[in-house]
Amino acid sequence: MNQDPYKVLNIKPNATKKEIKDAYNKLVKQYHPDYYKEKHMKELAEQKMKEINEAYDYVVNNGKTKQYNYESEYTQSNSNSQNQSSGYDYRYIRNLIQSGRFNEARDILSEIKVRDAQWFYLMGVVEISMGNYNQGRVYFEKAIRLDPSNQEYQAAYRQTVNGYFFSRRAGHARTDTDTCCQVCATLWCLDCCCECSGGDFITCC
Amino acid sequence: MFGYIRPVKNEFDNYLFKAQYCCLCKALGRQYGFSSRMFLSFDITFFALLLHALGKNEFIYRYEPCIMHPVEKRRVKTPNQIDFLSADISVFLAKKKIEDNIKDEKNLKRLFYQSLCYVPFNWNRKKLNDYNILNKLFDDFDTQEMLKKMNSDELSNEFGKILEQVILYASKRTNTLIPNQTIHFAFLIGKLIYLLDAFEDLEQDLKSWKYNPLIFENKDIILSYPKKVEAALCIRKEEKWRLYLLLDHIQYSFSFLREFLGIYLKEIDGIITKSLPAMIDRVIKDETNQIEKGDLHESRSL
Repeated sequence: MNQDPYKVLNIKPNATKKEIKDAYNKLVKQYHPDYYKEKHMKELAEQKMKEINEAYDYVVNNGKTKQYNYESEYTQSNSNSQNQSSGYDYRYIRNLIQSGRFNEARDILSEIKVRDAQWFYLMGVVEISMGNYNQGRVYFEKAIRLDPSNQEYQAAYRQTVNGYFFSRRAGHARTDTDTCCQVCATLWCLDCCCECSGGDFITCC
Repeated sequence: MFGYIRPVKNEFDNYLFKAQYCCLCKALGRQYGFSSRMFLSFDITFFALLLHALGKNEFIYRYEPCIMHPVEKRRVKTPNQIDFLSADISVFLAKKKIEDNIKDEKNLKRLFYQSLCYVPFNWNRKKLNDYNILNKLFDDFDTQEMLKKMNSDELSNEFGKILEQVILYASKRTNTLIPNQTIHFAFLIGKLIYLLDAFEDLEQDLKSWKYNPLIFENKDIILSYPKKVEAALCIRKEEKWRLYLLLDHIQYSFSFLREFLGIYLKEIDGIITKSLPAMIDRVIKDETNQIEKGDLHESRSL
């Protein structure tokens, strides 16, 4: 089980005790196994109820319980004030990601104990690049929650759900070379035009 | 394999793919008997073509008669080691698929699949047992699917790893040097095949409660909708971003292979950039059609 307990309960991380209780009661009413007659639906409802109960336990105990294996990232990120950087220099990890060494990047990221928005963003990139799309999407959501004003995180999330995460990343690289080629071609054309009309735009060629 | 990786039907400039397909058909017939030709799949043809391209093999072909096209002779690629190995892998995968169906199906369908194991094919058991690595991978995959604990990403990744091993195995056995990026590309193609299959079977799996990771990941949708067709439609809407993201991932990964493909580039590129998006749309739309039909049927019966 690796789901966001707040998402399971459909509440905000800063929800009050009353809001948590109301959300829980609402979900229990909605998914209680006794409401379903079909055997398989009953089983499915039981599984759903288990998830809801675990999420509720986690939220109520504020992550102290070990039953809910949610990587205890909320505890760690909550120990920092939100939006605050962990102070870790992520440049090396970004380089690893850039060169396609995702396993190494994931190993190093996993060792970092204090997890800020950038940690979640980079972990999202790593997970998506390794084919774990849903997990990556969840990490992006967390990055945005911790730093809502960051354009990079928002763009990554948008590109993921709209299915152009990779082409946009490749596109950035391609656009740079395209611009360079365009400049060279334009200069060459200008030079030719000038030479045709008797002048010279670039004297060396 | 499921035949998702193939050129679009109306594309006329895919003669390499066609000749490769005919070549594998003949290779299968020669090694495993006439009836084994039914195991030929587009996916394996694609992988054979990719291996030829990466191995920079010359494409030599001749015209041969074909039982399916008695009027005209067909262009058939002259088979080599890669083609014979691809034929072996086709039969191996078909055998695995049949074994899987025997486990899943009941009554008459099960009997039909059981009969396939015994009657008309020269399974060449000794040869197939050589694929120990692949056998182990499939067994591991089956166990994981049986445990029903993995989500669709994890399961499709496991299937991707099988294809990764298939291409590695084939390249080693045929001494074809492949760039590193090919392994990741094969992994993504495997992932796509698994996900497309899960999408296509969703409606059916919901009705018969067969294991499909998309069902177990979307419990709340299934529990909220009284009609299964509506639930399937909603899951499809919720989950299709995965297919589009995966397509984008495949195209990105393929961009690193382009320079190695030589004369094969145009056709393989056509499959990746034109046919795959069309296939994904077809799977999604087909499902919509099925749902619409099912909906109609249900409302009539009511």
